[in-house]
Amino acid sequence: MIRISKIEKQLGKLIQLNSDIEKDVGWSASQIEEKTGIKKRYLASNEQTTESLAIDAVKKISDDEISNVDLLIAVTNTPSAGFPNLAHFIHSSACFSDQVQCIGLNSGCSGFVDALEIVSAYFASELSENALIVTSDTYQKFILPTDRSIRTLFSDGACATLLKNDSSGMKLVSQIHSSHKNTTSHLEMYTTTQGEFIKMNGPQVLAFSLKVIKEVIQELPSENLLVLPHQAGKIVLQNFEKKLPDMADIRTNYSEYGNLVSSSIPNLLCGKIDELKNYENIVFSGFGVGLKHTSLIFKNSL
Amino acid sequence: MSDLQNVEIINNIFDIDVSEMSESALLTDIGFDSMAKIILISILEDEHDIVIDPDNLEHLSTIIDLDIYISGLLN
Repeated sequence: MIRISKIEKQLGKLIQLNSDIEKDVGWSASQIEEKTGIKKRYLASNEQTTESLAIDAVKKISDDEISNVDLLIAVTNTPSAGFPNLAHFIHSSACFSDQVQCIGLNSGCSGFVDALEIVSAYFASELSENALIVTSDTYQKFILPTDRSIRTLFSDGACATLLKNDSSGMKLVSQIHSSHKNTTSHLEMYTTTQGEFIKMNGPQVLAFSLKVIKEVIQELPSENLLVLPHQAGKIVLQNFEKKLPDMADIRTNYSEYGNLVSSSIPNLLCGKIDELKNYENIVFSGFGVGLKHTSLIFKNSL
Repeated sequence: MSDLQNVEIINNIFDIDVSEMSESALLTDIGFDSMAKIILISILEDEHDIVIDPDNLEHLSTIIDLDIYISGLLN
């Protein structure tokens, strides 16, 4: 069973307010907030990379805890280089054992939940006792200044989530997956002579997200439930909240952080891990690039 | 232009009053962009529990096309 014992984070250094991008995107600051629900975003500085954000988050965890890690899963869509993967750079930056299993996932907004599912399987098979999931992305480095559909949404940052195989932790009781074929163009990185850029078909991604919510809602326990969804934005999360059972709680913080891609779910819990103990049922729901979706339902032994 | 069946929905999409516009007004001229499509998808899901395929919106060119499309979904 899984117990989340610590979450540390490193956000991009630069804070971008809506008023900073009014002219570029052609919406006023209040229009941006009204349409996206987002007040500000965190952007990586020129010196910060996906790798440095990840390493800075990991360095906030003690050497003792790092040396006990036997499974390291690193998640990103925006590495500085094709290979080696992010896990290699994180492993090289701190006092991890040389025997640690290092896995790199090229995954976006569902990446944390995908990694959590892998950790759960390793723990259930007794192949790991202490795992670390590191999520890190720098989408803003790949967005055209005038692309208002995504420039207003995404933030850069990393989270490092330490997990223990603990009999008093959360037990994975249900998994919900879906993947939509031939959806590359709906959310992708493309290359031009000017460089690499991200483009998103907002209506397609929204329609996909709304279908995911319908799938997930059908499977949810009705009582003592905490929902931790990917922070996709106002329209998606308001829809999610509206459909939840009356007694369920949902956590959101997109208005203060924007969409942190793979780090959005661990960032919801950063500094608030103790709240997990108050719920019998906990749902992690990630959806995005792929277009694909993973939701995990855990049961807590209260 | 009183013949439109879905004035309220269409007004919400564009944040303007379309009731006085010509039925043949081009959607591109009144701002049927990505955000407008997102608002339409959101309204149809929230109020009518319908998730549309955004590809279907690409074939619409005028206000009356949009109105007929919405009526088809709701009926």
